[in-house]
Amino acid sequence: MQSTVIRTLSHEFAIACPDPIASAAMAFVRAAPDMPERVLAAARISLARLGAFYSMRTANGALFEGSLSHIVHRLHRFLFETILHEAAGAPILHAATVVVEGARIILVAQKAVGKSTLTARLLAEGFVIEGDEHVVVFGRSVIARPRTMRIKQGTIGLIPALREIILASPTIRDWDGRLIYSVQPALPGRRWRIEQGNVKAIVTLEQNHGGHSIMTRLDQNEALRLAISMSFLPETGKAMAAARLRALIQGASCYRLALGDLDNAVWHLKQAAYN
Amino acid sequence: MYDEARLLKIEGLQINEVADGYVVYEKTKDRVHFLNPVAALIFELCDGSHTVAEMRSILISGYDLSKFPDNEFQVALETMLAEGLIEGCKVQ
Repeated sequence: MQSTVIRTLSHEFAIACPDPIASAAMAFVRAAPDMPERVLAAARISLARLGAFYSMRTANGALFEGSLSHIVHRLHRFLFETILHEAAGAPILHAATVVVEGARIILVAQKAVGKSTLTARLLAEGFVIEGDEHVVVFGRSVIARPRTMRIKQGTIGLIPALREIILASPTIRDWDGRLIYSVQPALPGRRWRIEQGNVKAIVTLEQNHGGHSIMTRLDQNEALRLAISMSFLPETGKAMAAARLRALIQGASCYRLALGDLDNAVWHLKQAAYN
Repeated sequence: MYDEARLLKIEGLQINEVADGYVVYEKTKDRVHFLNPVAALIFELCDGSHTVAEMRSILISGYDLSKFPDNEFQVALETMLAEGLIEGCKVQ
């Protein structure tokens, strides 16, 4: 029986898979970065065959039954709700976290702007990628949510340097039947590592597909407005959560990146790290 | 806003002080507002005990202003009123 490990901010969930098909599905959700400063409580998620379907029971007793794709969907939701609970009032930004030359940069974006493609390219360029989806904001300090990069089939051609790594990664299919790859954000021979730390630059991405990438400075008030619009704020304590976003923005340089060609985008982000 | 008017913070707002002002959450419209230091001071003066004219005097002396930006002051009050952060009140 194979086991899959998924880490959150405070837990390490182990899922014992009853068969190879379930193992393959759970591999998509696997997320086991090194998190040296975190104390992770061990917890089990049980997964069992139920005729043609599967049954999953989470550590808090919730029971889900259905096809493996349904189980994976519910597991994603369970993990995100776990992160919300662990974040304890901290806002969660929809953003990737990358580190270059010791400088942490977060890339904030709405869906379909190209964040994952850019993050994959940055990985190929030698940036350290901590996370690709969510960032928990404690104020000036942040931590990336442990989640692998999700690369769409159509993106592979844009990042030829990662082609072999992407193709060897676990997959699921979206509603249109296209493959989505779950790619661990570390180059061969390196380990995926997530640390809590301060942010040097906040870069809000805007779509400029087909054009050049252009980066400009962003006013702090506008940066706050955009950050709030791309955050999950807790139902109670929204002002406190927004204040944490404000503190984050105050401690960092803020930019707007019209995301077009990836070469220029990489160049701009290196400038943001070095300046 | 006439000079004798008195204003009061709406009850139930979530208010958080940050290094450069206040972050205020207003539940009815589900909106977060950032008040810069001057706006935060105006907001604090909306405690029902100061008239608009008195608030103006406090700002003039507090910031040692030779020319008071009355238009901006009025806009700040009207915006906070419109956004449901403050309301008019009777003499306390």
